[in-house]
Parts: sequence; C-alpha cells; structure tokens
Amino acid sequence: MSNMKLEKNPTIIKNWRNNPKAIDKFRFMYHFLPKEQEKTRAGLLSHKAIIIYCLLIVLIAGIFRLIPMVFPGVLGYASNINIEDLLSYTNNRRKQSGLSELRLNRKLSIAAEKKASHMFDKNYWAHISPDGVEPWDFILDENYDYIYAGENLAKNFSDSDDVVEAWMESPSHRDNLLSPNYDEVGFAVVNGVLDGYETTLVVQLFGRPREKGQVASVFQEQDLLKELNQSKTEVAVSVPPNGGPDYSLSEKESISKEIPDSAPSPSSVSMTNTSSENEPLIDVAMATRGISIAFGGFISSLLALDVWYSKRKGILKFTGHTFAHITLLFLVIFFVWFVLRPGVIL
Amino acid sequence: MNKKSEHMFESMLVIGFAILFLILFYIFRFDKNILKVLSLVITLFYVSWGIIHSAREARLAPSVVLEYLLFGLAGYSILYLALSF
Repeated sequence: MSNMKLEKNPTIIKNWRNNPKAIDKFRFMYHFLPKEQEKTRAGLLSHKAIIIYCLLIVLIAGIFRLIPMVFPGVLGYASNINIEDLLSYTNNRRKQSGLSELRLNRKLSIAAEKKASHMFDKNYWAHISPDGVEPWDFILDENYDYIYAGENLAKNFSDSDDVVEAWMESPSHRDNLLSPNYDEVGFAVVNGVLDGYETTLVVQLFGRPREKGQVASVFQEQDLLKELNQSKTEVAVSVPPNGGPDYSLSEKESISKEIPDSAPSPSSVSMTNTSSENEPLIDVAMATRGISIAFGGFISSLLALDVWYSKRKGILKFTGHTFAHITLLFLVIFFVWFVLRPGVIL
Repeated sequence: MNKKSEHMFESMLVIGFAILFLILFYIFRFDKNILKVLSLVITLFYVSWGIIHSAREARLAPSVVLEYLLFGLAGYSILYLALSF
C-alpha cells in the first residue's frame, strides 16, 4: 500500500501503531472492494487485473496443449461408453423413425476394432488413414461382402447417449444412422493415446450383406454381446510428441459406400474390447471446465461485491454497466457447466 | 420513454440476447466450430451493446470502452478454454 493511499484514510493513519492487524486487513480488502477515494472498481477488477486473467487463461490452455507432447497419456478424457448402450440408443432412434433395428454383426465389430486400433497405431483421426487405408478395407478384410457400408466415428465422449445424440445432430451422421440401406452394425470402443491425450475412440460400421440370409440372427447377436461384455482391452500406442496432422477428408462428415468389387481376405483378429471405462490421470475436459467456471465465478463474485459495497457506501463510479458484466459471465458459466459436452464426431 | 424505462429496456435486451445465445449454444452443443464462432459473436455483440448503451447514457469514455472490451475478452477467453478441449 502506498503512502498516498494511507494518507487518504485518516482512521488507519491514526491507529496503525496500535493496531497493525487493521492495516493488514485493509491492505487485503483493498484489492477486493471498490475504492472510495478514487471512485473506481476494486484492484482485482482493474483493467490490468482483467488482462492478467485473460493471459492466465491463455497460459493454462497452452500448458494443457504442451503437457501431452511432453508426457503423453497424462491428460485425457474420462469415459464410460459401452457397446450395449450404443446399440440400444442407435436402434431406439431407428425405431422412432419407423426403421428396422440393426443387428450387431461380429465381422463388422472386428473391422471397427481394427479401425480404432489402426487410428491409435498411426496416430490419426480420419475416415481414411494417412497411408490411404479406407474403412472398406477393414470391412473387406473380415470377409464381409456388402452392398452398402458406412462409418461413423467419435472421440473424447464421456457417455454412450452423448455419442449417439451427437451423431443424430449431424446431418451426414444421421443419414448413416437412419439409413434404410443398412441391416447390420458393428461397434468398437477402444481406449488409447491419440495426439498425446488418453482417450476413447468409438467406431460404428454399418453394412448390408450381399445376401440377406447372411444377416446375423438375434441369438448370434446375444452371444456376441455376452462375449463383448466379458472382455476389455486397452490399446498401447506410441505417439509422436508433436501429435499428428489431421487427415480427415472433410471435418464432421460421415462416410458411406455402395457395392465393392474387391475380393475380401480372411482375418485372424480376435474380438476383445468393447466396453470402456477410461480414467486418465487428469480429465482435461473436467479440468478446463472447472478452471473456466472458477475464473468466471471469481470475477462475477467480485462484481457482485462491487455492486453491494458501492451501494452501501454510496460510491458513484464512472464505469461500465456492472449488471451487464455479471449477465455475460453468468451466461458463460451456465453454458460451460450445463450445456457444453466433451466429444468430437467425424 | 423516460430514462428509467429506457434503461430497463436496454437491460432486458441484454437478458433477451443472453437467453437467445443460450438456446443457440444448446442447439449447436456438439459442434465446437460453430460454438467458437458463436462465442465470438457474443463478444462482439456485448462490446457493441456496451458502447451503444454508454453513448446513449452520455457515459462514453475510453476507459468505459476499454472495460467492455476487456470483459468481453474475459468471457471469450473462458469460453475458448472450455471449447478447446
């Protein structure tokens, strides 16, 4: 506290020798309360302070980008996604649209798992890999002879219903999900490290076999679901520290294909993962939401204190509209806490 | 319109737009690119509103403009952090 400020508060000057605690209290409160003499906001709401908050937020975002490059897998996205729910939510949506339910197919599920593992291995997030491998290659590798096929992808989601809801919100993914051309579906839910972040990839592959008689029966589906529920896997991946480029064809586009010509080749991959409870060391989505809310809450609390104290002491300041600032920050906090969901679809 | 009801109208305008933006946020909650654009639109709207409101109340000064700019920037930074991950 400067001498000038002390001079402006005669009570403190008078008693400071006898009551040093009062000075400490004044020093501390001085940063939180509006300044009566200067007729300005509290020190923690000054222009300089707001610039510092903004810089701190940018710095935190930078650190959260840097950590995965130095310590891959430390930051990540917690999730609790399982295939049974994904299948159930998908078929519920189809039923609501008057379409037939999709049967869970073993070959498509194996192909989906291979696709997810391939994305972790090659560190990419796209329908077509950097080396040109297409979704159909995985399907054909499993001897699935199809007329129609399609693929939806999702990552960083926490719940199965959010995944299906996000696909439904995107026209191209919804077209796949609600296409009458498909009879069967395969899912993979695989944990691993992508771009340095511990995450869960969800791959959904659709298909219609060339011969209708090949469609999986209800019993086959139940057996497969049981099998899937018994097993879980984690894909261990080495990640380049700087992450990989995005090779997506176009962002937020699902992909589908009709009638292939190439001959399928047999596969030797066993079915494993399927339900995923991914718990990274630090859940980056929760951490950033928490930090955002803490900043927003702190600034709006100071503004509320500013309004209350100014009214009480009759301080008239030449500033902007405090009520409007609080409204803006409440809007931001409400959105971050109640509306925003982690996750990206492709 | 007297000064008090004019002030009330402008405050209601902010609340009305806040609700509108919240609805838009909900509609596009899974599309982070659109959400980032919406965040920018909110910031620009807020700064513009602040300047117009201050001008109408004859309180327009560089420090007030700077204050709206900084609070808009703070709101945007918070949204940016949450939307980046």
